[in-house]
Amino acid sequence: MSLGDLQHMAMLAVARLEGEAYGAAVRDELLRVAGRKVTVPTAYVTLVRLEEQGLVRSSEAPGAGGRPRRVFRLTPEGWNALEQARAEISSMWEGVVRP
Amino acid sequence: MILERIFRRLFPGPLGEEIRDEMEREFSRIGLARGRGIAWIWYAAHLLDPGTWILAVKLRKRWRGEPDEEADVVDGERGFDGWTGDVRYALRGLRRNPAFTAVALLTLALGIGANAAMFGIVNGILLRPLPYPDAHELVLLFHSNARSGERLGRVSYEDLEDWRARTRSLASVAAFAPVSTILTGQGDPVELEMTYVTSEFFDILGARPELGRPLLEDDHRLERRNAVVSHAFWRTHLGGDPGVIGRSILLRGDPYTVVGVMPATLRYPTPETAVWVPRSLVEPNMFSNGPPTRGDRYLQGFGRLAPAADPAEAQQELTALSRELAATYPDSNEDWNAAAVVPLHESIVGGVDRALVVVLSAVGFILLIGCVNLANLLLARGSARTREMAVRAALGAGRKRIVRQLLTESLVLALLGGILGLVFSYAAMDGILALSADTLPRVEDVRVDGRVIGFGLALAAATSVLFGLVPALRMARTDPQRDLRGGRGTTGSEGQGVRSALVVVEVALAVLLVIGTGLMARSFLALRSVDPGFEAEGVLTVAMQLNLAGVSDSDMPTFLVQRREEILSGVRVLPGVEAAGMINVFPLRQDGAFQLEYTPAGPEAASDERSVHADTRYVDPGYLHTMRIPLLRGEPLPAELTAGAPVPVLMSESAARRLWPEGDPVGKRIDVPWGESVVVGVVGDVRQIGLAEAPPPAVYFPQRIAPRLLATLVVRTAGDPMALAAPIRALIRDIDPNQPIRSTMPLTDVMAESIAQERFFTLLFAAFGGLALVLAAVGIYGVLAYSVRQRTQEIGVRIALGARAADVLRMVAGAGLRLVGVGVIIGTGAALLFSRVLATQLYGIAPTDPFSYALAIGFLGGVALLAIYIPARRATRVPPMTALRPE
Repeated sequence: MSLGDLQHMAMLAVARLEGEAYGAAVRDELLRVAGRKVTVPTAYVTLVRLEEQGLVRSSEAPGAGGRPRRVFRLTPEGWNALEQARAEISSMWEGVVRP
Repeated sequence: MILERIFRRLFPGPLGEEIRDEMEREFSRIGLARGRGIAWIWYAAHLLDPGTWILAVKLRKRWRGEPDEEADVVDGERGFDGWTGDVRYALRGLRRNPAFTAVALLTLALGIGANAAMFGIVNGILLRPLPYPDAHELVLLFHSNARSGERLGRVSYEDLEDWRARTRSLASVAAFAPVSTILTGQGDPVELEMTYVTSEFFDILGARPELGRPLLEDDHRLERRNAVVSHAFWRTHLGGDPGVIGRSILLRGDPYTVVGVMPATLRYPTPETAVWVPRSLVEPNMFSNGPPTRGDRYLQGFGRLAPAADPAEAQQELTALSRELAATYPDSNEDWNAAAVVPLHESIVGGVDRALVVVLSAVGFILLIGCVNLANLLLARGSARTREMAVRAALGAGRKRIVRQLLTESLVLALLGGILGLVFSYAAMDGILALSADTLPRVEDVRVDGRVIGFGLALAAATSVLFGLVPALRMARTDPQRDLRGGRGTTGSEGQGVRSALVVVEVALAVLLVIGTGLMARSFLALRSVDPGFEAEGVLTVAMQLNLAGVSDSDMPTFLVQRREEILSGVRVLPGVEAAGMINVFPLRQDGAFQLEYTPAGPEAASDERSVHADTRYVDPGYLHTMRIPLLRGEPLPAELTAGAPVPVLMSESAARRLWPEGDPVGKRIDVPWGESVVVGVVGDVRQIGLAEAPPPAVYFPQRIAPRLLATLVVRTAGDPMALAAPIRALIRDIDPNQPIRSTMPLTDVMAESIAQERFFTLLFAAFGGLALVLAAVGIYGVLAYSVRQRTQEIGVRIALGARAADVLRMVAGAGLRLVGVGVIIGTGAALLFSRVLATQLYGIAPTDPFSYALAIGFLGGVALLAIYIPARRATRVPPMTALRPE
């Protein structure tokens, strides 16, 4: 399955956050690490779609102030998709030298 | 706060709550860092983020437990930022092609702007309801005369009262009579528009004063000199004084007490109406020569329909009532046996509604022509993007996805063009209204408002589909195998076919518009050269209402006669004056005009049934000579009147012929309100109502008989008429420093003013026709130039094989001419079909006037030839070497 650019980045952010991947945290991670700014609705739509495609899974976890929040984790299919994407990019990069 | 409530509805459920919390946190952060204003803008901008709406749909479905069909990623969908990505990509593309973008934006801005401007005008004048509550119930009431053919005649007070007492289809009935008056006692005397109204007038309009009270029943009954003034009058002449109630103003020297001030929204019967006074104060000798009777029809009927009644019903009922009145009062009401009921809105805008709609359609055509040009531009540009499309397809983008991307590009272009167009429409609207020079009604209601902006944006969106769909569908039809290797794609002959078809369409549209322009122009020229019945060159007109301040009612007739004589004798001896005269109601201006019925008098006329409904004018003996209205038979009016002898009159030719079809009218007698008159001469007919209307019958009385307040002085001179303006004004000022002058203008200007509306529409059409022509020419040129470029190799081969310049010219030009020819045929056919629509706007020519058609087609043909010739010529210069060069 081929991944969209933002989906790819969001999944990597989820992977990096290791169990702390709340919607807000994914947004902040994208900004902090890749300098990628997305609106709050955009971030959540991406995560919701990933969940629909079975690439991530969400569960309820206690949040700050007693209000529950959703935490996202990669599924095995998600990990496979990520690794495949990485392999594709790496092969394309092989032998590419900037003139 | 509204935004919070909106987002609470958009994002329901626990996940929605989490999202809102996150937004609020971000809001606080931004508020602290950049201020609450920026934070609110950031918050509100989420409503413009497509992500918000997609998320809202998903959350709602989740919250309700419904299945989500969108939950599959097919066609190489790149996740959700596809849409914003498309927009960004489109903007980048526009930046990279500045020439194309400039042309496209200009075309769109002009087309959408012109349409938005015209829509704004149509919206303000035709669509916006009148500013009165339930304005659709308001109607004007008219009395109709079967014999004279007058359908929209004024009503008498007695008839109106009978209608009011017996009608069931009208909830209330009122009447008004607009006149002009002179305000004195406050600096220079000023002429004002005043209206006599009956007691229900303000109620029917639902008008409540902003100060004081309206006119009450007692004001009318007791004939109190009370007045209600307009907002504008209160501001300019009463200093906007909040304590104005009870103040006295002098109108024609009579004191009136101000009892109320109306709000600025009340602009009836005209936007210039300054004062409303009770009808019971109507002075008897204003409209005839005795107290008003049932036969004096000087009022405009006005009413509000009863609930569930419509104008047709009311008209039927009033017609039946009129017939009864005609039977009961044969002396005054014979032949006045019908009525007409016209909705108020129609009476105000009826004269221009059709013309405006025609112009709106014309402007729509221009946008269509612009769309065709843009589509062709996109198609041409499309061939340069075949590689790009092929790469996208190879990467998994399906056809739908590519079409969506291309349509997004068109939409972005169209919206940008639309916004520019809306900005342009402000100026365009002002320009068009300025061109109209006060000939359009309700211009104060014309503005760029939410509806116009909505229209402009909707038009932009529709336009994007119109010009973008065909190119998008063509460009998406890509074969990656072939196109990545550099195949032909949309540059093949089928591409050319679509482009040619588009050119034919735009030529047809342009022909339609140019023919319309030709018809309007010829009609206007015909109107301008109508013989008005007098010689206009070299005549100055000075219009005024004679000032009666300080003159008692009994002295009024003598005073008016003397004042007129004073002015005339003074003017006649001014240097440069060849002749001078005076009339009460000037031709082509209808203020103060009225008609009376005349029948033959004397013993031999006892059995004579003939009568004529004629315009009644009061002139001094020099008037007809000054205007060079021909005296066809008999003598002019004498300078002095013989006491005891019947009053001499002049009749116009059509009036005389109506009463005496055979024989000499000179010497015959007619019945007039005060007895009998004798016809001393017959004069030529004069156009009174407008140049387009046939001259009505007219009877000219010496003004000594019934001197009127209105007077137009006419002065003939050998030189420039305006050179006499200053000396005449000075003379009048010497005679009476308080005499206001309504207007001083050459008679030729009065004539021009009378056809100002026709001139306006003709100019507008000409402007749009010209624009259409230019756009079509550009389109033809573009397609041909492109085709030549594409066929460069083929042409090079032909030349190398011995073809001469003339052959190449013929080949290229021939193709172009074929397109134009087909377009012309289709356009002409359409014009013949639709020309009927223009028929009501045309004077003196038929909508199928062959000369206009030939002229228009010839003109367009000439422009098209030029557009064809340039690329054709360039084709002949292709060096044969290109045949040998690899592609």
